[in-house]
Amino acid sequence: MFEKLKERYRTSGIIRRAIDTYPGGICFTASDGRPILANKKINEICYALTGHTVTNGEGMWEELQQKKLRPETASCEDLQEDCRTVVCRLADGTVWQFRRLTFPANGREIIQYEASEITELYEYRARLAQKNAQAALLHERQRELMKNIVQNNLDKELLAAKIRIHDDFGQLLLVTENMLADTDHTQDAQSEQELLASWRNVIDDMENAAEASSKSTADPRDELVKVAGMTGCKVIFSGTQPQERRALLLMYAAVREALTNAVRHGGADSLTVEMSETPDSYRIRITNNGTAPAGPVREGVGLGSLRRRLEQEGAALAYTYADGFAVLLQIPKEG
Amino acid sequence: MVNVLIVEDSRISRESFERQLEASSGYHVKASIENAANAEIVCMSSRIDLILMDVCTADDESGLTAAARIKRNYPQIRIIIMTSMPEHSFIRKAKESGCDSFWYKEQGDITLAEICDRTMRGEFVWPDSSPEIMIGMAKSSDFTERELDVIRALASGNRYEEMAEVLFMSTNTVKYHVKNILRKTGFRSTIQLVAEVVEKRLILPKY
Repeated sequence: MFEKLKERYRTSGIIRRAIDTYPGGICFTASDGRPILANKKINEICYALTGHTVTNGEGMWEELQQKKLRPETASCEDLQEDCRTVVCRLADGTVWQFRRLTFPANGREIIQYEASEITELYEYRARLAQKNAQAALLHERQRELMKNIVQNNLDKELLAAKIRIHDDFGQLLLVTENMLADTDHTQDAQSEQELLASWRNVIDDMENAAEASSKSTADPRDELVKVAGMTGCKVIFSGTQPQERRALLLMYAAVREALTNAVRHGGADSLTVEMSETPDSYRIRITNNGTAPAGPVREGVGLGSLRRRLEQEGAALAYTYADGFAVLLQIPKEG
Repeated sequence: MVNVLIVEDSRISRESFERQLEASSGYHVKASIENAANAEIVCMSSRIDLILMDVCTADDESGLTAAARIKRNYPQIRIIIMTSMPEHSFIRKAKESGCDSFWYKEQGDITLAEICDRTMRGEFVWPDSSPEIMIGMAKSSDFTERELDVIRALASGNRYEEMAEVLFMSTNTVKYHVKNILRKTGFRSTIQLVAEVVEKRLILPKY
């Protein structure tokens, strides 16, 4: 009997020494949290975090999860992967990850709490997050740059046209000067007519260049109404059209598609666009006096690509059949 | 008489084309607009035989997209795509859209009247390649098709992971291509690269 007890005591001692030499913290408890075996390290960490050693495993776990920690320590939630993991930073700067596992042993449930030091990993993660934030900033700058570059290209094209007009103008001045200096009148009337026509062209171009410079954000309504008129369909607008350019262009993309379908399939000669707005969005209702679709609208290539374009911008497209067929559009306002 | 629709956002160029066509016999400018998305509406109402279609039109509407749609609904209409941009994918996209001819407006090797006449005679007039430009230390022809795809994805503002998904390649392959492109051009960053390709119009992501 004594030998058996001695043997058991020796085995327990070996186990204790073994877990005390384990560099991390480890603790086994019964299902009610009563400690069965805990090493020195987990007691030290638990004390550093909560102000007491492991008196009850479930109690310690609850305190860690609810962040009932000593003020000089901190919870690192960014590293917590799931409900079985808690990460905390001690006052000495080391970061510890706690994990809770359950397993059966001798017909009863045993809970294992494990604390591993992840200071290095945590610092890598922090550095990575910092680099990601920098990358996101650069990425945003790149997008912004793209927007400006497209506009710069347009400006450049206009500048090239102006340079061409300037060159033509200079050349015509020279030819005119030569002609005026030609007192012997060797130039014939046809050359004079050609010169005059060239002057008219260059003057037209100069007028257009001035207009092109000032009209970079023309109202898309003008041209749409013009081409609709060519089909014999009148477009009537009511309400105030969106102030934001993005919303305005989306609206006209939808009006254009509705117009095409109303004329082609419904034989309409009048299309009405009612525009209204809420604090968050623009609402557009498009109706026509043509034949309404016999059944639910089947979206082909045109409506399909319009829907994709609208949805990419967070806008919504819908149809209503009650009280006449209408295309409904909702476009969110920008932040 | 050939009825022509001109789609061109620059008013100076538009009116210049109008004048040139009206001066050549056999052409009548039926309509002249600045937004490619309105072109199909014109085709619905008027008998149009030929469209001169710019690629980058008003409100960022693509002439290539509009041409593809018109060719689907009105295959008999001849379409000449015209551009001054050396964007490498425009020729391929125009062919895929079923367009008849392609004209570099500022290259000067063929006149507007000539390309219109040849197209109306049933010829398909295409340039052999897009104009060559320098991107850093590299010629535009030095890039492989895959590298140009990577540059396009970069210029669209994608991250490496997004690019890998769009281009059906691994993130490491994307990085490998980016490294090669930077080595060829001599640029130190992708921002420098994107700024140059867009500024020189090798890539115009919106079209």
